[in-house]
Amino acid sequence: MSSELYQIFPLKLREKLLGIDFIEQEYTELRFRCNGPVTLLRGKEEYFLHNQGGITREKEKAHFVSVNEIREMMEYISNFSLYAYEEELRQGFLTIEGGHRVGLCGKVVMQEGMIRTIRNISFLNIRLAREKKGCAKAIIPSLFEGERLCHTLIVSPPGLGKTTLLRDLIREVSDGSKERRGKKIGVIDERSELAACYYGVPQNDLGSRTDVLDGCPKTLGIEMLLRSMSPEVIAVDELGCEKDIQLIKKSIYCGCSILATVHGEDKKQWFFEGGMEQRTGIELFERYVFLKQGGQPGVIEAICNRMGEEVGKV
Amino acid sequence: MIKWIGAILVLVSAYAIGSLLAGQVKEREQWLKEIKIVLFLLEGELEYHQMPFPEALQLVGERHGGSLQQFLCSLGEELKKKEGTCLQEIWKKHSKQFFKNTALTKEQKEEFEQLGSYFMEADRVARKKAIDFYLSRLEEEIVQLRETGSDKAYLYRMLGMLGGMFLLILVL
Repeated sequence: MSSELYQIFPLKLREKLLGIDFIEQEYTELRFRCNGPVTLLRGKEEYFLHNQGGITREKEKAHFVSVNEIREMMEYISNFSLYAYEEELRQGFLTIEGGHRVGLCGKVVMQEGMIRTIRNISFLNIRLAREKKGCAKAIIPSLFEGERLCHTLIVSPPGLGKTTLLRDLIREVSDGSKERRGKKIGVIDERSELAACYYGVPQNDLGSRTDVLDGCPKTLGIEMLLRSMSPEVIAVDELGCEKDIQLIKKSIYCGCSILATVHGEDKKQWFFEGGMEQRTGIELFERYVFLKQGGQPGVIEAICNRMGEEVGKV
Repeated sequence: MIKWIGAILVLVSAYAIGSLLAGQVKEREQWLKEIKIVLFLLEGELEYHQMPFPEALQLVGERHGGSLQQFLCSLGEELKKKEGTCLQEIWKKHSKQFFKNTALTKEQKEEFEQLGSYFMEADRVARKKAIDFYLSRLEEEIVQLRETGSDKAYLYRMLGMLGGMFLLILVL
């Protein structure tokens, strides 16, 4: 287990977790629910932390997490500085060293119709960050027209590796290769998932020509980047609302190439069953990368142009 | 002759005990003032600079110096190690060790030991309220000590001397 992850657990839990290498053994999520068993997820497989240490499939033998253990974890996760994570608490997640993302649930405190904070945090979900360097290499030639990077949109349902692919795409485009020069990239990392900045320092490798606006909403970040960093490419994760797409539309006309991701089903649904038509403006993208469902995350199914025709080999 | 030397020694010792107690009243006030300043500085670092707690402790300790420097720096150092013990416990342990031989009263020491938990409050408003409440209590105690401190110190000295005299009368 990587040491920075190890440090977020209370002493008792650390002893039991010793020997489990989450990254090496490809675990994707760790779940802690008060008075519930510690659950480890690897893809769709579910395991429990054995109360003697190690893992088990039998719930009865699992280590059950106490409320105090979760409170302690929150102290370590926040480096004894929960007050510094007010905004993150409001959003329901925070990023820790190593780029891992911790989702939180508890008692929501409202003020004037807005979430002020989450108190009595009793449920944690640690999504383990994993860089898959090189996973975008094969598709790079299909995304370029000469020296120009086409506006590219990665489309897939949640959990299939959109962000992982986008991260590697950013790194590849930024670093360049013998055949292509590297490009200046501005990344708007609204949820700290791409660069996974921890106190401003990116924990993931996004390439040597990449600038990161961490925690910035897309709606504000694009203009900030255009004004301040003169990027050749702008990368954003998870286009959601209509406003996001309109902004992308605007920046496409500013001379920057766009790399983005969006939730969608598959090629068929996207082009022929109205997936794309529901999002006005999204047809401005020139390349659509679809991820394969059902197998390993990050496997590419098809790369298409805006007519739905496949471009290049996968 | 020896009798008289003994009598003088008893008197001096009794007066010294009285003076020691009087000095503790002054020292207590100094400690409370010191805690108050440090808490103000710490709260400022947390509120306006959003600094991580261990770093803020060390920064305030180094910048302000004073009698609490060692406490703040060693506490910050231990928190940075993240050895699997919660803040409240580490805070308590350090407070107990540090204030063991100081002039603070038992209640004041206990209140300070509880202070650690306030800093783990995620809600800024709630944390500020808790710390402000503690600060206002400190202020009250300081004012009280300032108003009655000199009287108390005088009383302790006099009691010491009179106690010594009383002892002499009994013995002689």
